[in-house]
This record gives sequence, C-alpha cells and structure tokens, in this order.
Amino acid sequence: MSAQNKILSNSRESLFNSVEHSKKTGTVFFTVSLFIHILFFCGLIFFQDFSLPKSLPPVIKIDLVSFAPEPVSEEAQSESRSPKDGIPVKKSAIKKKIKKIPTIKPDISLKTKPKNLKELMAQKKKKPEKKKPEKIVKKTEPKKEVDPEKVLKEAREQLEEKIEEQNQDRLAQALNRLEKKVEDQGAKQKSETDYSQTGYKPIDVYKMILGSAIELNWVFNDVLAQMDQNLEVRILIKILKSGVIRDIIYETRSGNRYLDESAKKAIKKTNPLPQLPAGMNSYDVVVIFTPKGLK
Amino acid sequence: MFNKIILYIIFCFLSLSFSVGALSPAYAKDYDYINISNPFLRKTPVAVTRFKYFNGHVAEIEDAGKAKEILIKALNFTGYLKTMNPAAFLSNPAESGIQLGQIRFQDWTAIGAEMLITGGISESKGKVKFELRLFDTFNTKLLVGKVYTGPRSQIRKMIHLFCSEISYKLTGKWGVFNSKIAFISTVNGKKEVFTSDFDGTNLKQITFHKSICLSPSWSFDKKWLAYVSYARGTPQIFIKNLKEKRGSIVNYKGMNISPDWMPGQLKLAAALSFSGDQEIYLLTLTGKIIKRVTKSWGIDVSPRFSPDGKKIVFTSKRTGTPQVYIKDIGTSRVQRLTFKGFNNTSAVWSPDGKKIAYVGIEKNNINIFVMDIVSKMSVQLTMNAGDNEDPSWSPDGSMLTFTSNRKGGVSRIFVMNASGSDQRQLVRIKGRQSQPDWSMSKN
Repeated sequence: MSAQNKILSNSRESLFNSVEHSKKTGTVFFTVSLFIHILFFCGLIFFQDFSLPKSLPPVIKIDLVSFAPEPVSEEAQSESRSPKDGIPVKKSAIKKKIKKIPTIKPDISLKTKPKNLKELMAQKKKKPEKKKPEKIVKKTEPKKEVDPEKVLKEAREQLEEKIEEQNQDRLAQALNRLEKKVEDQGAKQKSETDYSQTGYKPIDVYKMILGSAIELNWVFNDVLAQMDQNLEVRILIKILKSGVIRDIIYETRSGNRYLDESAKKAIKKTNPLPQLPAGMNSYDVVVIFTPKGLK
Repeated sequence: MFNKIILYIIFCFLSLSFSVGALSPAYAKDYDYINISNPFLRKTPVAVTRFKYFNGHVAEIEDAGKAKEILIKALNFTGYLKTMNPAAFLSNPAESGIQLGQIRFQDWTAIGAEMLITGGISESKGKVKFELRLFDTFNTKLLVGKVYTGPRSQIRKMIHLFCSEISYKLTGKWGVFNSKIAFISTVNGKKEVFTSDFDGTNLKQITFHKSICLSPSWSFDKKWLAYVSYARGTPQIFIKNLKEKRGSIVNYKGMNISPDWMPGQLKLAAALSFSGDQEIYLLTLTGKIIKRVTKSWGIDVSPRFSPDGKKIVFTSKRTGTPQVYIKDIGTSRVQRLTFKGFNNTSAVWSPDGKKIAYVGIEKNNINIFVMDIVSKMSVQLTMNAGDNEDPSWSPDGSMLTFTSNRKGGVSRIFVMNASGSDQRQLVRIKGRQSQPDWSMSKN
C-alpha cells in the first residue's frame, strides 16, 4: 500500500513538474513574442516615413542622354540662367571679385617701395584711413629721444609691415568668407537643381524615349475604333534592366476593344526598349493611351 | 498545449497580416505615368502575301497576280488599312503554308504587320477557287477565312466580297467594296449621268439625252436612279430602273429638281415649284405627291433623308440667306443648323445619322464642312484647294466623295476620308465631272 502511495505520489510530482515546465515555457514564449511585437509596432510608429533609399547613383551614365541637351559648361550655365535667378549672376560676380583681389594686392603692398618713404608718407597723408597709424607713431616719438630719424624710420617700417600684415589678413579673411559663401551657395543650388542644369534626370529622358517609341508604333484609326467619346486605356508595363518589356498588364481598360488592342500592340511592337539607366534593375510604368485630336 | 500553439499561430498570423496592412501604404508602389495621345500611324499595316498555286497552271499564276493586285488596291482604298511592301517580308506562306498552324507569326510581328492575308488559288475548267484568310498576327488568330468559287470573269467581285468580309470583321460594316458612284460628266459638251465602282473604275454611261443632266440619286437597293434632266425643256425628274427598261418622269409645272430617295423605301423627296415657290414634297415612284414637307417663305431645296427616313435636311432661304435646316417629317418641327457664313448648302446626312456634311462659302472659298448634329460643332474638311462641293457619304460613313476644281480649275470627282485626310482624285476620264452620289453597299 505504501509502495502504491509512493508511486502515486511520484507520478503526481512528475505531472506537477511537467505542468510547471510547460507553464514556464509558455511564459518565456509569450514574453519573447510580446517583446518582439512591441519592438515591431514601435518601429511601425516611429519609422512611418521610412522608405528604402533609391538605388539611383548621383550620376548616371547612359547612352540615352544623347537625346537630352548637351551638358552646359559652367559659364554657359550662368549665362543661360535668367537674371531673376540671381544666384548664378552673383556667383560669377563673386568669382570675378576673387580673381581681382590678388591683383589689387601689390598696389597696397609697401614692400615695393621701402626706400621712398617720403613719397609713401605723402601718399598716406592723402589717404584719411591711414591717419590713425601716423598718430600712433607720433605718440611713440617723444618716448624715444635717441636718433629720432632712425627710430622714426624703424617705426614707420614696422608700421608699414603691420599695416601690410593687417591688410593681408583682412584680404585673406574676406577671400575666405567669399569662397565659403560661394561654396555654400553652389552646394545649395546644386542640391536643389542638380539635374535641371543638365536637362533632365536620366529616368525622365528614358520616359521620353519610351513614350516616343510607343507612340511611333501606335496604330489607331477612328473608323476601326468607332469611338464617339474620348476614352483612355492604362497599361502597366515592367521593363527589365536590359530594356525588355516583361509584363504588359491592363490597369484599366477603355471599354473599346480596338483601342485596348491597339495600345497593347503598340507596346509589343516597341519591345525591346533601350537599356534602363544605370543603377536601375527594373522599371514599372503605366502608359496611358488617349487618342485625342481625332475628328 | 496543442490548443495554445494553435492560438499562438493565429495570433502571430493576425498580427503579421495587420502589420503588412499597416505597412502597405508606406511601401505602396507609386508608378510613373506616360501619356500618349497622338498615334503615329492612322492605318493598320497589312501584309498581303503571294497566293499559293495549288496546281501551278499558267492561268492560276496569272489570276493569282491579278487577284492580289485587286486585293491590295481595294485594301489601300479604305482609310484604315495600308498594305506593306513585300520586300520586308521574312517568310513566304505560299511555300511554307497558308493555314493557321503553318504561319510563323513572329516573322510578321517583327516587321510591324498587324494583319496578314494569305491566299491560295486553284483553277480548273475555267472556274477559279480562292482560299483567302485574314490573320491577326499579334494575337495569332484567324479573323476571316473564306472560299470563293466562280468564273474567271468574277475574280474582281470575289476579291471585293472578301474585302467586304474584312471590313465587316474590323468595323462591323460591310464597307464600300460593293458600292457604286453615280455622277455627272460632260460628253461632247453635254452633261450625262455616269456610274462607276467605288474606286472609280468600271465606268458606265447611263443617260444619252444630249442635254443637261443633274443631281443623280441612287435608290437604297441600287436598282433605281433618279436625276434631273433638261431634255424636255424644263428641268424634270427622271426616275429610271437600271436593269429593266421602265421608269417615270416627274414633270410638274415649273422646276422639278434635287431628288433624293428615302432609305429602305421606293419614295422620293424633291423640290417642286408648281406652287410658285420651291418647296419640298414627298413623292411616289411614279411621281405622285404623297405629302408636302415644307411650307415657308423663301425657297426650300436639296432635301436629303436621315438614315431612318424620319427627317430631312435641306437648304432654305427663309431667313434671307441659304442655310441648312432639319425638318422632322412626322412632327413638322424645323431646326436651323448653320449660323456661320451667308451661304451654306448641299447638306447630306451621314449613314450613322450623327453628322451632316455641307458646303459653306467663307471668304469667297467654297469648301466642305462636317457638323456634329448634337454639339453643332463644324469641322472644315477641305481648304486651300480650289472650290469643293457636292459632298456624298460612303455607305459605311468612312469616306466622302465630292467635286473639286483644284486641278487646273476643271471640276473632278474626288474622295477623302471622313476626317478630311487622303484627298485624292477618284475618276479619271475626259470632260468635267460633278455631283457624285455614293450608293448603299447592298447587292
């Protein structure tokens, strides 16, 4: 009896242990799952605007660009821009200034005339700006009583050097400021109208070629169509990297069978297209056919 | 435990589907769009291949060439088909096979042919048998397949019957291939009535009055022709059966002019002046007056029936200048159509009843216009090419024939698509031609 009780108690214990174990496993599962879900939904909430970066590189070289206007030189760009834009005009003006400033430099420099002090002094007297240093020189004069001419000469030389250094510094600072300004403006402008300066984005050029090619292959006759109103058919096509049209799917049919068929045939005739711009693996585009202008 | 796992799976599935649903707007593909609204080609390219000779007789080869030529000419006459140059063909069904399973459609789609016509000919004892097929190359489908047998003299008719089948398949109408055109041509200075096939061939002089004949008009069944003749002094309407030697003359006092047959019935509308003023009357085949249609101050002339025969369009001077009006014969309601210009005449109803072609004078130039009856919008079809008048619709409404003096000031019969494109001379005979009237297409 006691043995039976022992077995019973053992089996109860094992049963209890297995229930305990399953509870623990379930709790762990639930906790992990809950944590992952919380993470996931937090991600959804905080990264709503998340979008995959476009695979387009900043510059794409494709043969199709031959259709677009040729890249314009910087000078031409600045000339071609309307005066209202302002920025390019400023840019060119700034550049001119930058170039002119170093040419002014030697005129200001006193190094070329260290010996003709009298003439220099005369020139400085004419200029009201350089009165201040003279005053300083005059103030220092009484302190040094030994060989005033020599002292004066040295002082003047020092002063001139100082003025020259100051001028150099000012010019350098001004130059730096201008350069920085030009760079900032250029970068800003480039980021805003990167492609517009050279014409179109590569994909826009591709779209133009695509539209033109399909239009060239589109056969449509109003007698065969027997249309009384302007209808449109939308066809979604998937273009592979090689330019091969893989999928041709009606997004919306026009209701006119001839129009729908003619549109599909135009796309089939256009296949294959030129290669996609570099960096693109496929391109999905909806082609809308609206035979307008028919009498 | 098992139930828990199931519940857990369901929960995961629901949460996953919810998350996908929540994510989908963020990742929804925003497609680019391209708008195309100007088709480059207005005519469908059709490849017509050499006919296959089943027996290889010389007569077969001759007739095959002739038949192919007739077929190409007929297809090119339509405003919507254009046959392709055989130099571009990549395969030859006459050798590889003319049936559906024997056609390499990629050879035809590759050259841009949207349709393909193959033919076979066998000839024995003066009888010709044609096997003609029309294929849709892009959809690899047989659209029309017909066999015609007849005497060699009927090759043209057989080919035109096949063209009618093509037209019916593509447009839902039988087309122009079985229609005729009546017109006036001068012979030795006299105006006589002539008829021709739809393409200006197979000319036939109908009248020999050696006088002035005007305004020929076909009956709906092409058996009767009504026209005006001055053969007996005053203008009278002659109603003539073309196959039987019978007819009648409408010879009321004054002028009897501008006859037009009612669609589907052997009744005519004409302008008679026995009451003192030109008014429009409905007449029987023998010229008996059924009903007076118009009654107004100013002349009413040039009646033309609507396709259902319930209305007429006509020219009236009731407001001082000749303008185009519509009158409902049943209700007598009159509606003025033209308001622009001081001279709008010769109105004709399109076979679908939706448009009216008429002649308008603007800046001393006579040109043809087409007006949409509902919107009242007019489109000028002819311009800067002499004077253009007397429009007449083709039975399927896809074309118009008209008179023009654009070539050296001599009036000739021309034809154009209903949109005004492809204007070309139709009849090339001596003299001056005018006033064409295109018949219905029924046999």
